[in-house]
Amino acid sequence: MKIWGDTMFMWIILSIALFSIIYFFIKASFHSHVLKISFRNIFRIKRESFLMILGSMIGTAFIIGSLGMNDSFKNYIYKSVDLYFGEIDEVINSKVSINYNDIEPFIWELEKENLIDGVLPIFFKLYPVTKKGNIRGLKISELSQASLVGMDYTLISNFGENKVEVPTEFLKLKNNEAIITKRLAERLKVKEGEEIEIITGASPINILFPKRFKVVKIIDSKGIFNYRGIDANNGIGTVFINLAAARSITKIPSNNYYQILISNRGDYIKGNKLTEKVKNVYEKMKTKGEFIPVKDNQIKAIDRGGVSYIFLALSLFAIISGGVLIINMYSMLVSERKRELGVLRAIGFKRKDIRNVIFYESIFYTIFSIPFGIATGLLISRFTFSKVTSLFESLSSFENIIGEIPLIDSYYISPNSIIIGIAVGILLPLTITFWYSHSIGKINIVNAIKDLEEEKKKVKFEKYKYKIENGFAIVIFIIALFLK
Amino acid sequence: MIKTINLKKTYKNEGVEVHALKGINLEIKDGEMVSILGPSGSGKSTLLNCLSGIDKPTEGKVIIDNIDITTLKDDDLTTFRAKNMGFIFQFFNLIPVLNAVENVELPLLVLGYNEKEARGMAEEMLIEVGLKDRMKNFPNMLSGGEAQRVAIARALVTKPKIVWADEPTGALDTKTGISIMNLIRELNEKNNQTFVIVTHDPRITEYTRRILKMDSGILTEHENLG
Repeated sequence: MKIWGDTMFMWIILSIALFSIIYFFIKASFHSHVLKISFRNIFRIKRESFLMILGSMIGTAFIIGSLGMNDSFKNYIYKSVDLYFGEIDEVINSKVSINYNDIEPFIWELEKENLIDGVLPIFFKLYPVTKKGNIRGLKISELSQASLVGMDYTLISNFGENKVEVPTEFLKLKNNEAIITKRLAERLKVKEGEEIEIITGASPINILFPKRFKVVKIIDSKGIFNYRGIDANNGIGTVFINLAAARSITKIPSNNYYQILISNRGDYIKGNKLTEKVKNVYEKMKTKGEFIPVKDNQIKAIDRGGVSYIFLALSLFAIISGGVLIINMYSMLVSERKRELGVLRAIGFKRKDIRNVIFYESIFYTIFSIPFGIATGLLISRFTFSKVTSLFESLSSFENIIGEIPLIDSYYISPNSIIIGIAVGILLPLTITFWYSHSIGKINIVNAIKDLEEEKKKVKFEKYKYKIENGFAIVIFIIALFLK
Repeated sequence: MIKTINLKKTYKNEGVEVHALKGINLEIKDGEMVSILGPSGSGKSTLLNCLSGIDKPTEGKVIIDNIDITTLKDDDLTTFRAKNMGFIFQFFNLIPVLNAVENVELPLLVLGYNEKEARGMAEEMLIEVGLKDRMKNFPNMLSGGEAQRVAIARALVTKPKIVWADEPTGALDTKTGISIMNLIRELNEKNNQTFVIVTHDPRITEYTRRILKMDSGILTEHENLG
């Protein structure tokens, strides 16, 4: 519903923008002489008109560009979350295992409140893993920390909004067989059919007699089939084994698990965030185990340093810059035509007619500038993005920085952002010129005809100018704050 | 009839109060052709602006046909101006994106005439001022005299009761200026419209029947030329 709501919101904004234009054109058709002057003004001084279109275009490009950068960053976050968690939104975790009977009332309550669409109890532990033979060969450096996961794999098909088909290898896993993730296989230098060893305890017996599993499949997947624990950073990969084998290794009582994976209804990434509600139920029910909002945590971890706020601040900065640019362009245009506007007032044009002369002209400029603005914005943001990415990549060679700078690998802009860009690209110049043309309507006829400076208007503009400057100062301060 | 009662206009110039009009009382009868003569800065243009309602006096009344236009709201005053007044400016002030006939028909369209009717009246008016062959020409394609004739046509096309002219020959050479003044006098006699002409050039006053002389914001002399 939320997704539908968001998309609808975008379309409503766009519809308002388009209807505004249509409305003003219908209105203008009743004043064809006003429309004629506005339209012809566009072709009057081509260089000036080109600058006007360029100004509006750059404003739109700024907005689209910053939205594109923002979307790319978000997309990176979402891809990262999707890679390690997929449908998993929260985890009830216990270091000493948790009885599923103790969790059930909580699950029932979540189902009753229609908050979730899947629950998956699993065995989860981190163990040193290596290729068979390395332990006896005392190749300690070949050991890698990996996540060991065991569960009833048939439950996966009913876990989450998008039902997944479970590969048959998972369903046919024998007690001595394992499926491992590709990255782990590469690290261990293991191929399908070879064996791995897992040290399941610190005692000499465990070290001398590690658990052996034959790798029946190496998978390169995401989500639940790439689950690596609650913070996604544990170990180099995952070893999937069957329920009986997991129970045998962990030696926990029947019906006990280490983790309960929960999938909320809808898609978190697309905006359906129910984590807070699930947490409230968890706290209300005084459920055992530790409640971990894994997706929330992962997003916060990636976005440490408030990178998304920097992009947001850049977007705001772009919108304000675009606005100021448009105001300056119109200010220039009006000051050049002041005498003419004064004459029109003298011969019978009302204030609203003068307003419309400028406003209709701005509609033409806006219509011309939007498609070019979007194309330029996309090109600029894509170009900037590639430059920033390569800069980050070069910085990532420094060990202490790699953890701090997200390596965003692909450019992305959502259709919603393009819709927003179009809507803002239309509404921003129209709103500004509507406001600006409103003040132009109050032009002093005598001063305009004599081309004298308007003292009152000048004071008003100065006042406005300070507001803009203050606005800029605040934006820069916010950016500086986040950069700090 | 145009009548002013104790008309005053004060404005600030770089923080200093300037008394442009210091209590003007005058009467101009319907159909009169009056010139307001005075040196630069005497207040003659300010008087014309206040009389025509494009500027607000600080004090006093401007009564035209028993209506005190200083009390009218902006939109009402604009409509009043459009219906009853025509303007001729020193620098023609034609709309550069409109051709001659479009410039002339503009006041009619503002008043709500349909396009066909307005076009017909504008063409007639241009013929009357001797610009039959220049109808489709844009202002930049017209000479100074031609542009001022278009401006006169624009001022007269709505058949206003009053025509205000601020230095109508100020931007023209002597020969063209004479022809323009002859045209104005001819139209005044033909249409019985009131013409109020502001000028600093005494030669222009020869075309009018009455001269109002101004200096330092006051009317110093009335002269009837018969």
